[in-house]
Amino acid sequence: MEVLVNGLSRGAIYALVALGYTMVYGILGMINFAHGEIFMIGMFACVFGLAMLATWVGAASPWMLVGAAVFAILLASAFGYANERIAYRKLRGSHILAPLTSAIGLSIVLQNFVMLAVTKDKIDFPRYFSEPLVQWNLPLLGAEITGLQLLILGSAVVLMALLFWFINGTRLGIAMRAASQDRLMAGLVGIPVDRVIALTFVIGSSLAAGAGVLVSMYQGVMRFDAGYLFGLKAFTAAVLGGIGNIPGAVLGGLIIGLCEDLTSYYIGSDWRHIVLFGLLMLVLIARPRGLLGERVADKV
Amino acid sequence: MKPVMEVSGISKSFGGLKAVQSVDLSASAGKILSIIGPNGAGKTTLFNCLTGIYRPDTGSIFLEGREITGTQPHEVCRLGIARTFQNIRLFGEMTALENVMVGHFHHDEISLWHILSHSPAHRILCGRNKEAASALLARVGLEGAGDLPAQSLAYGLQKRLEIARALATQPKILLLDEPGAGMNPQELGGLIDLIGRLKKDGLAIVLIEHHMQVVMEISDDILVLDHGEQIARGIPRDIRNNPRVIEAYLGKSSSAGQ
Amino acid sequence: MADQSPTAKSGTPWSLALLVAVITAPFIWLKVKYDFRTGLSTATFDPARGWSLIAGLLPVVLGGLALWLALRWLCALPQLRTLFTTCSSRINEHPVLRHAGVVLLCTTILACAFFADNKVLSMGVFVFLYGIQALGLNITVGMTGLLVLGYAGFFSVGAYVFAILAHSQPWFSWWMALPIAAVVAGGVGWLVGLPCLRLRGDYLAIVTLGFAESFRELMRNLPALSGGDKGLVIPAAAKIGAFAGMNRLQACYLATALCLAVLVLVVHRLYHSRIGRAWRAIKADETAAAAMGISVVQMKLMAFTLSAGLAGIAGVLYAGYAGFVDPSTCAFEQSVLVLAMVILGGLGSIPGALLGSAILYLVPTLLRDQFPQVSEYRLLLFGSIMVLMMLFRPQGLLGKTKGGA
Ligand SMILES: Nc1ncnc2c1ncn2[C@@H]1O[C@H](COP(=O)(O)OP(=O)(O)O)[C@@H](O)[C@H]1O
Ligand SMILES: [Mg+2]
Repeated sequence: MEVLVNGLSRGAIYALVALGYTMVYGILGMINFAHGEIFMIGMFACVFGLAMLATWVGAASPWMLVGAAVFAILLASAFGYANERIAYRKLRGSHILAPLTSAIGLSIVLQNFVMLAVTKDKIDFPRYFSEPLVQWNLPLLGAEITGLQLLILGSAVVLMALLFWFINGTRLGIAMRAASQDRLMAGLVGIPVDRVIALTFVIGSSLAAGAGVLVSMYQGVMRFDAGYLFGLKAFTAAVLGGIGNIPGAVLGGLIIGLCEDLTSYYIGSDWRHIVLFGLLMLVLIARPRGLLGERVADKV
Repeated sequence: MKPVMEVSGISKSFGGLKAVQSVDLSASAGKILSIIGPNGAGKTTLFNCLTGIYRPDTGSIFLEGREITGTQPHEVCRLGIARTFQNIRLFGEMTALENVMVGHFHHDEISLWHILSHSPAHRILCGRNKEAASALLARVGLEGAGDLPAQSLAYGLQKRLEIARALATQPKILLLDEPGAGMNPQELGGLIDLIGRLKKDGLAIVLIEHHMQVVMEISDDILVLDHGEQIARGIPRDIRNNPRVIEAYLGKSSSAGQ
Repeated sequence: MADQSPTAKSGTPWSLALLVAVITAPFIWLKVKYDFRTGLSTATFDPARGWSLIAGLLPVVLGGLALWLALRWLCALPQLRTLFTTCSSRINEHPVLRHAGVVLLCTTILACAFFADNKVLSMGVFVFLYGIQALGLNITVGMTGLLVLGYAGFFSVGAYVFAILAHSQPWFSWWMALPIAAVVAGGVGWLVGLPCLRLRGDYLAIVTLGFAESFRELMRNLPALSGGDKGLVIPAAAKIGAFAGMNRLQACYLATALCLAVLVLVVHRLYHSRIGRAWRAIKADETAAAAMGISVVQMKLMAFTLSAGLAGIAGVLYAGYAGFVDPSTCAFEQSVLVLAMVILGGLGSIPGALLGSAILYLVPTLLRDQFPQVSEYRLLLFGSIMVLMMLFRPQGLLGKTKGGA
């Protein structure tokens, strides 16, 4: 049971990051390889935010967590926006290799920038803010759910609900869906495609930053390369669910999270990536479009 | 004479949109079948079904008496159906000659060993390929353009290069998707000549074209599509006088032209 | 492209630069300290750190910029350009000239084996090793248009196959491993490629990346077979050894050079054959290629298998030279390095791949002694190269210019 709860909360976080991959893929047809780095920037930004608040206010209060989370989300969104403007916008419409290569380059740049500018070593999340959440327990069906896990599941649900509302219920969200169906047509009927794409990056980045904040509390330490494996797994989740498909990303994230914790528990944590890779290969063989993905015929 | 290709009841829809609805057609050697219809009528989609790019929802395609419905695009090409594309799809950075030589792909098979050792057999094959490709370029009027990258050619020449590339696959049927689009009258005249020569060589030709004079002049048979449905078929004279066609297509375009 | 907004903005680069300056500021100027006792972090403004970072970056940026401008200036020189075109057309007209050039290059390389000092030779070994890898990766990425992100995984497969065989069979030697590793690495590539090559090209990128990570984990988890984290030491008898009066280093140099030469010939011949044309057609337009009778999946698989096989060969040569393998051989960093070489040199061009590997290996290595920070900034540099090349010169240094004549 505890394994399940662990797996679910881990999966919820993967899902948040996977959403960013899937949204960008849906609209641009490219793998935003640097998305994992945005997640990592969210983690660091949260610690920076907490440190700045604590220093400038002079005293600490748990509410600073909210401020730091907002700071992290804003900063990471700005990074996402800048990435799109600098490294991708010019490459729209060229061979798919071009934006993908640019994204990989960017991901390396961001990782090494943080390594050089901050530190090669791990940095700690200020325990003061996360400890109460970790220590508080809610017994449930023979398992103990920590406050932090509740927070993770809760905020993941809230963020996803916000996203679904935005996409299905607002004008901009509908514009976004239109742009991912047919960018050219959407432009012709007056949708500001550039702005919609930038917005997609901003939203995806805020979700990733939200995930970053949660993970940084959960793990307590972080390093500049935190986004690499995490991003890879979140991307796997997006593929698993059917890339471009938003509910698919959520489902894929949960499956990856559960699978990872179950493997660690029953086989050993050294094997979890091998099992995930096997799972990815199986899905690609059996359902190449992912679990919820549908076949889309290219227009010829 | 027995038709080379017989198609019956082809339908294809995208979500709710019925792009092609139970269309029948047949193409015979040395004949030109034209498919006309307003934009969005489903002509290109029909071609995509015939060449295996889309899998039709219903219907069957027979090539020389053999069913080929649902065959992969490259297999369809090997069986003898070649096509051009409405929006030019050449291999832009490769030279014109190389583009045509790509069309040879499936009938110049040779073992890897010959390629790696550049054996006499491979040399001979290369020489023959080059000659055949140059001859095809000359045939469509692209003499001397062989070494230029395809993307650097003028629009009209690119359209011709696509035809040469399709011919290099040695097809029995050639599907041409709006080969005359964007051409001036002089270029159109050349195109009509070329298609006429191909017809004389015994190729079955299926032509999608918007220029009515061209269609009326060279077609043996015309099929009219509107909203995916086949609304008329027959010889050019009948089509010209068919009220449904005039309403769906000629009427609209002639009033728009005035 | 139609959806590029026409608001081609002159002021925008500055506002973007400002944005970048603002968002990177917390990372550059802040120093965060964690206090274990209170569990709180504090932040202080730390200009010294920030300036030292910028001071370290500046020479790299300026150097890169200067190199770039110099190259641009050289390429734009009309005299040089006409010289180049006349030379290349001469060479095309007279194959004798080309053959003479190749012979000259080969003799120079051969002569180096006997007259150059050890430092040059060992750098030569690495240039050739990276050359083989760039050549192989270029088949998939450059010619066929499929991105592979875990290329080092296949390199590692080759190296481990050799190491494991050498450990189990006392009579085993490196040259026997060459064909075996090529086949095994190629076979693994085939298996990995099979499910994802039916899909859009970019799945391969991620799947190979996942493969490289998983293979590394696998090797770490099987200490009995692969020596775990510590890796395997190759028995002296199996390494590339002294040979016919040459010392070990000379033998390694010649062995890698010879392999590279043979493989260049192989890839060159394929490039100009029906297979190479099919690859390039697939890269340009998969749908059109299929409509011209090319079995796209089969040709992609062939390209990828071959490319993995080349990596396997490079892996054996590396292990035969270095004398050991460990899980770090399939690190992401290695894959990225080779990818950057291919991109810098020119996607799809064989000389480009070789040039790219020489530049990206030699420049950091030569600069390392004078400027120790270069090795720290190496990856940052590679990443920037990838982004900048895509933005400003997607065809690479030696690639054909876009738009043709
Ligand atoms: N891959 C596709 N997905 C969705 N709709 C498509 C696709 N291909 C074609 N259509 C639609 O099918 C209809 C027929 O298109 P098409 O065959 O290109 O017409 P034509 O060639 O006669 O102008 C159009 O409404 C077009 O938008
Ligand atoms: Mg059409």
